[in-house]
Formats: sequence, structure tokens, C-alpha cells
Amino acid sequence: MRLIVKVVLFIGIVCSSSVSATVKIVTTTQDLASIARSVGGEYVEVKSLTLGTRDPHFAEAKPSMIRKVYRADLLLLIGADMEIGWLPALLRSARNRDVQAGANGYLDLSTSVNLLGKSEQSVDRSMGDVHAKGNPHYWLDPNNGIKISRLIAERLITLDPEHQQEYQQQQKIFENKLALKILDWQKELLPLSDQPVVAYHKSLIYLANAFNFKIVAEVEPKPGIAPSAKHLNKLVSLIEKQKIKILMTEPYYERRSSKYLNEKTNIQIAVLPQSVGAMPEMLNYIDLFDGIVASLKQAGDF
Amino acid sequence: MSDWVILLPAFVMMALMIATHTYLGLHVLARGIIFVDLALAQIAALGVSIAFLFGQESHGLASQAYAFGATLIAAFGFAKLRELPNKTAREVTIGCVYVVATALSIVILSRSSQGMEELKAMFNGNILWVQWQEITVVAIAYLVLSVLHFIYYRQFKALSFKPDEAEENQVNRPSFLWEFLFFATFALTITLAVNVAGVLLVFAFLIIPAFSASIIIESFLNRLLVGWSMGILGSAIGLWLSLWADLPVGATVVSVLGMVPIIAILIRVFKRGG
Repeated sequence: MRLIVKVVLFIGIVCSSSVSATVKIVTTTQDLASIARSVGGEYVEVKSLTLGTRDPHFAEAKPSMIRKVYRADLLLLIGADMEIGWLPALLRSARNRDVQAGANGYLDLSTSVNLLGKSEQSVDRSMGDVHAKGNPHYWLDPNNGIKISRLIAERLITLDPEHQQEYQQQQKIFENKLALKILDWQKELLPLSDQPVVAYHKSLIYLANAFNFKIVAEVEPKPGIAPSAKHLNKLVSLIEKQKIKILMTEPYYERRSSKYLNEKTNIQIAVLPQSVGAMPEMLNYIDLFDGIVASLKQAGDF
Repeated sequence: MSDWVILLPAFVMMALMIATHTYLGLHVLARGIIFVDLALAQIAALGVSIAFLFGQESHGLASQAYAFGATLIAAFGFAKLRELPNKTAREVTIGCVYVVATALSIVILSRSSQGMEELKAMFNGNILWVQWQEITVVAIAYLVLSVLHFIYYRQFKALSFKPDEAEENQVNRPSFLWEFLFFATFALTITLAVNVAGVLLVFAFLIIPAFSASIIIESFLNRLLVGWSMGILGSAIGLWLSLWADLPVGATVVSVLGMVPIIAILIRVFKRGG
């Protein structure tokens, strides 16, 4: 009996010490979780607050979210007001001082990249869900993935200097692998370059920037607002005039407007996964772009 | 932080709501104007939408003032309801107010996507993220309202339960003023709750405990006590379930509360049999 108690105690000590050795990271999206896993490797434990199948602008309040944030050592967020609708309330409820804004455990990755679509004039709500700080969908440019991984490595070293070398190494491996893949993807998407396309939401400007195609119109008249019949008909004439071949949309947007445009103009719909986890086979950040490229090639028939 | 600490603010907020809403629910049931609270809650939402239109932030004090102002106007209108000839006409009026208020909110917010999100949030609520400061404000307001209702217990009760008598006995005090006071306190209670808990939970707390208690037991005080117990028990189970299965808190609690009237009916049948 005593032996069992001792064994249990021993296992408990071993477990607790090995748990405390890892940095507990919580991320707002699965994309950041994937990059953090690549950089942190076995020295981190990563959990995402939202699923890649959902629109990260919104999140449903669940008890587990508070628990995750309370236990985290490091919070990674997209920033640029992406999570403005839910993260501040969650941070207040979780009451974890280590990950409050300004603390070392709070890392806003939008500071690592050059944000596009910054608004010059003041933004008000009548303009739709425009982001004053710039467009927050920056992870859709794989070059930004590299910048994100660098900043994460830097912060991990601050929090866990013991594993500085490992973090640097793992970040480098990720960066090299991604850089090679970017060349592949650029080659594959070459037929798209300088081509006009239509996007559903204003979320693909980074992808367009990375692969050099032009988004000439959005299905949504204003970000976050479903199109009216009048707006759709305007799009029909634009698509016909410019002979646009591809309409890009994300899995969680309504498909009816896109189908209507498809029926009227025969424009091909490319449903692009927008996040890691958007589809079950998309396990990491590189899978995500493999999926995007495949979907674009299929729609564009090249 | 152990798990129950995560849910403690939500539970305290729910307890405050059950305490006040069951009481008001008994009044509303006696009057037979059940949907008046949905209408008022939607009017509160309309007030917030109008605040949006004028560029106010959604959870700020200013938008609360708009919401309360809007419900106060509606309370004035509802206080006049008694002048309508029959119950059907009253329910129809309330129904119209509900539908039109909802439609107006949608029209006002159609230009702003975050506004639509706000509308959805007002329906579902996010009681999980309620802050202790918010709870304190609600608790103080509810305490004041409770004292008011305790002092004038007879007058309010007479209005809902013996309307004809009330009108005869208060020749020197116009009955309309009491009606208005009743609806105004009702409006304030609901505005505060909708802001943190959402229309769904508010409606459930108003009707379900009061209705279930009315099935089992007679007098007003007994119904209040039984309603409170059932409400608290249902909420506690709902909260536990939401934690255990990691579900959205408000909707889970409402789903569990849905079982309470069924249990009440079973108890009634069992009592008759015995």
C-alpha cells in the first residue's frame, strides 16, 4: 500500500515538474497555434481559443476559454482589432496578470508585419466592419508567416531563456521550409499573376499581394454586410466587362450570392480555406497554403 | 483558479435575476400579458440600436441611457394597456410592439455589420463574461427596486391580482400612476439584465420559475419561494453542464430550465395521485 502511495507521489512529482517546464501558450487562432508549435517544439504546450472552421472575428463564450487563458504563460493574438469583439472581455474574466496587454506574456503579432488597408480617415461603424488599424488578415501572406515565427521565437526566448538555442534552431528550420514552399506556390500560381479576381470579403488582400493578382471587386458592398440585388447586378456587368474568371470566398460566408454570380456569368468559385483547421486535413500553416493553391488551380483550371 | 470560480460571477448574476424576475414573472402571469417582457427587452435593444446610430459605444453608459429611455416610453404606453377593452387586444398590441421594435432595430443596424453582431449578442447574451463591477451596479439597482416593491407590496399586488378592486380603492391616487410605476421598475430590471445576460435568459427567468411554481402550489409567497428554489437549482445544473461539456452558458441554462415545468407537472400529477 505504502509503495503504491510512493509511486503515485513520484509520478505526480515527475508530471508536475515536466508540465511546469513547458511554456503554456494560448493563441486566438489555429494559424498562430501552428506556427507557435513549429517554433516551440517540445518545450511548449499550445492551445487555440477558436477553431479554424469559424470566423475569428466572433467567438462564443465558453467556460474552457477562461480556463485556458487563466493557465497560460503566453497569449498570442492576431491583433489589429481582429479579436476586439471578445478578447478584452475574456481577458478581464480570466484575470491572469501574466497575459494582460503590456505584459511579457501578451504578444500582438500584428506588430510584426506591415499592415495593409490602413484607413486614412476616421472609421465609424456606418462603414461596415472596417479596421482602423489596418486589415487583420495578414497571416494569409506566407511571407508574414516568417515574420510571425521570428517574433514568437524572440518572445519565447525572453520567457524561457534556457532553451534559447532550440527556439532559434526550430524557428530557422520553419523559416527555411516555408521559404522554399513559397517559391513552389509562386510558381504554381504564376498563371494568376496580374489577373483580375473577385473576392467575397475584404480578407484576401494579403494573399493577392503575395501572389500578385488583383482583387477588383468584393461581393460584399461593405465588409461584413451581405450584398443587395442591385450590388450583385453591378458585379455581373463588371465580371462580364473585365472577363473575370475566379471568385474567391471563405467556407463560412453565405454561398448564395456567389452561386448567383456563377449562374449569371459562369465565374468559377474558389472556396479558400482561410485558416489552419478550416478543413480536417489542414493540420498546419504549410498545409493551409497547399490547400489554397490547390483550390485556386482547380477553379482557374491551370 | 478552480473551475467554480470561473462560473461564480455568472452564478451570482443569475441568482440576482432569478430573485427579481420570478417575482415579476408572477405578476406578469397573473395579468396574462406574458410577452410584455419580450417586447420591453426588444425595445431596450432598439434603444441601443438608436444609440449606435448616434455613434455611441454599445456597452457604454450612454447607450444604457438610450435603452432605458426607450423602455420608459414603452412602459408609459403599456401602463395604458388596461384601458383596452379585452385581453386579446392587449396581447395583440404587445405583439405588434415586439415585431415592430425588432424590425426597426434590423433596419437601423443593417448598415453596420458590428451592429448586427450586437443585435445577436443582445439576444444570446454573454453572461459568462460578466464583471463584478457590473454585478455590483445591478445588485444595488435591484435592491432599491426590491425595497420599493416591498413597501408598496399591497398596491402592486392589487394591480395585478385584483385589478377592479385596486381601481375602486385608490380614488385619491390615480391607478395609472401605479401602473406606470410598475412598468417602469419592470423596464429597469429588464434593461439591466438584457445588457449582460441577453433576451433569451431574461425571458426564461421571468416565465419558467414562476410558471412552474404556479403549477405546484397556490399562494403568492409560496410560489415565489418555490420558483426561486427551482430557478436556482436549474441554473446551477445548467452551469455545471456548460462547464462539464464546454457549452455556451446562457443557452445551456435555458435548455435545462426547460425541464423544470415538466418536472412541476409530474409533481402535480403525483400529488393528485397520492
